[in-house]
Amino acid sequence: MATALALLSALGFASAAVLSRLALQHLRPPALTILSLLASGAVMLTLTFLLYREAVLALVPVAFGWFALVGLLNYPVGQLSRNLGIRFVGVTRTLPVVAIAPLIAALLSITLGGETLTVSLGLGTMAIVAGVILILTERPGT
Amino acid sequence: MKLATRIQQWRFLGYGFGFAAASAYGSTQFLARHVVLDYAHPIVVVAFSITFGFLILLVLFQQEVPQVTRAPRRALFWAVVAGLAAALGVSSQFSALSIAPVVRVSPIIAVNPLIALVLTHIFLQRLEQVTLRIVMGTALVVGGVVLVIIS
Repeated sequence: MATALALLSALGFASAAVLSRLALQHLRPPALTILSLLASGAVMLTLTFLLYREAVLALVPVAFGWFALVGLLNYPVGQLSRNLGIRFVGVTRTLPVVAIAPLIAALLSITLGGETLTVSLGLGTMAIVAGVILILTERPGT
Repeated sequence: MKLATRIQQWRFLGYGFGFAAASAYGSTQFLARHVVLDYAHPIVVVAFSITFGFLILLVLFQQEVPQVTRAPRRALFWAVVAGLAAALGVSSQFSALSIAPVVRVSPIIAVNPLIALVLTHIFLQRLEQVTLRIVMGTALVVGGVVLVIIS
C-alpha cells in the first residue's frame, strides 16, 4: 500500500510539472502558481475540514506561524521558483535540479541538526553533483 | 542583444530558479518533520501551508490576477489540473509516510524526474527535446538522491 501511494505521489509531482509546462505557454509563472494553489488549496482545505475538523479546532496559535513559514518557503519561494525554472529551461532540465532538495535537507541536518556524514551520503552527493553538471553543461540548441 | 547571449541568460536564470526551489523545498523538509510531530496532522499542515502560500502570493503578485481572467480556457484548465495533481502528490506522499518509513517511501517518490522525462517525451515533444545527456544526468541525480535518503 505504501509503495502504491509513493508511486502515486511521484506520478502526481511529475504530472504537475508537465501540466505546468503546458499552462506556461499562455500564463506567466506567478499567475500559474496562484491559480494552481487556489485549486489545490480548495481541495485540501475541504478534505481537512471534512476529516480533521476537531484537530483543526484544537490547533494552538503558534502552529499557524509555522504553517505560514512552511507555506512561504514551499510556495512563493519553492513552487514559484520551480515554475520560473520550467518557464526558462523546461521541465526536463528544471526537475533534476529541483530534485536535489533531499541533499539540502541532509546538509542542513548535518550542519544544524548534529547528524553525521555517512559513506552513502557522500557517494550520493557525488552522484547528484555529477548529474547536475551533466545537465547544466549541455550546449544550447540540443 | 545577441540570441546566443539571451539564451545563455535564460539558462542561467532557469537553473538559478531551480536551485532556489531545491533550497526552499530542502529547508521545508528539514522543518516539516518538527511541525508535523509537534503541532498537527500532515494533511492539516499541507492544507494550511498551501492557504498561507496562496495568500502571500496573492498579495505580492496581485497585478497578475487580471492575466488569469484573460488567459485562454485551455491554459486555465491545465493550471487547475496541475494544482490538483500537486495536491494528489503531496497527499499521497504524506499518507505513504504515515504508514511506512522515510527510507522506503522517499526513494520511490524521488524518481519523479524520470517519470517527468517519460511524460515529456509523450506529451511535450513539440515543446521540449529529451536528449541522452538529460536522461543520463537525471538518472545520476535520482540515483544520488536515493543514496542520500537511505543514508
